[in-house]
Amino acid sequence: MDKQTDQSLLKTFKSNPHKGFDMIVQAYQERLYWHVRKMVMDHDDANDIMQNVLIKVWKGLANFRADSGLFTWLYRIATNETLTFIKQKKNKMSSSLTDLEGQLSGGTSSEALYTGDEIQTKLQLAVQELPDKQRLVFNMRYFDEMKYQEMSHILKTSEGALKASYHHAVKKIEAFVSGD
Amino acid sequence: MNENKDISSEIQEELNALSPKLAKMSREHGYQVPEGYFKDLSNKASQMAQATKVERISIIRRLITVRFVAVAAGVVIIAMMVWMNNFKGEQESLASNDISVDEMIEYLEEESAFGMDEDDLLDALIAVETTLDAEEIQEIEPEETLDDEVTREDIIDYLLEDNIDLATIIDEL
Repeated sequence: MDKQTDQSLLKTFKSNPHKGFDMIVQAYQERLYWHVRKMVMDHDDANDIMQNVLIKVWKGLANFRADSGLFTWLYRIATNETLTFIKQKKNKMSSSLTDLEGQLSGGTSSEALYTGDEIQTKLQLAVQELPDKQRLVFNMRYFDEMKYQEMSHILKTSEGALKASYHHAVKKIEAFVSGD
Repeated sequence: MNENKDISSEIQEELNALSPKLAKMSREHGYQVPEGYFKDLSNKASQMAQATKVERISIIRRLITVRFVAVAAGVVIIAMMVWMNNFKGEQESLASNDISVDEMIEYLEEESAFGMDEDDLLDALIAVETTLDAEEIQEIEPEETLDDEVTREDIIDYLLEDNIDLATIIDEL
């Protein structure tokens, strides 16, 4: 999504908030959902987070000042909501590697919403073993193909720190995948 | 479009350098969503927006809020500075030996009534001892310290001075 599209979406929102909001949701919901889903793995969890994200977006849009760019702002809301959710969930229960494997094979859900092959499963398990923020950085770069500059605006972290974090994550994942 | 291609190849090159093994792997995540999920999500979002009233904060109100937060932050900073100053004062008075070691021991003994066992007390006393500053340690006269050069005569003199009977002295020797 380019800057011009964002400006046009915000312009529509200004003249007709409901229409503008619907257009923004349609433009960004998939990217935001996948960003969240890759962090929490479970579809139901991702769906809960998305509901909260969209409420916050709706409440915040009226006072949104386009300083940071719409895309950056939306991603930041989704990231913060996800990290808060993960923190709360961690306080309630701890997940082992076996739990994560069960989650990927659809053990905790009525439908198997994961169709990755053996290698993809191994990669996902390795990703889930990373610390939350490092996982976030890895996903944004590896899967979402984001520039460090973009990530830096969203995560409010220097590009150097993000590069270091990504490099560490890649090395850890390589070790995990090569491990057995 | 070109930009997307650029970033994609940039990431691939970076991966080739970092981990050739990971670079060869597919970058698909394998997650799925129920059919029609995104259509359903945007409908729900639209309904939620219809049901939720949003208030636009005026620039004046925003400025007032910013000023209020700035004042509150100022008060907190001043309060912290005052507190830090007092805390520093307390630390200085401790360092200047206003509280003697005996007082500290007495305090710790009193505290033992509130669940401090002997080991805790010992640890605390060791901590008190180790806080004696270098100057105090220097002040201890060399004669007053126990060392390897305590002779048998010294022991006999000590025991005799304290009116300990001869049998005990023989036993000690």
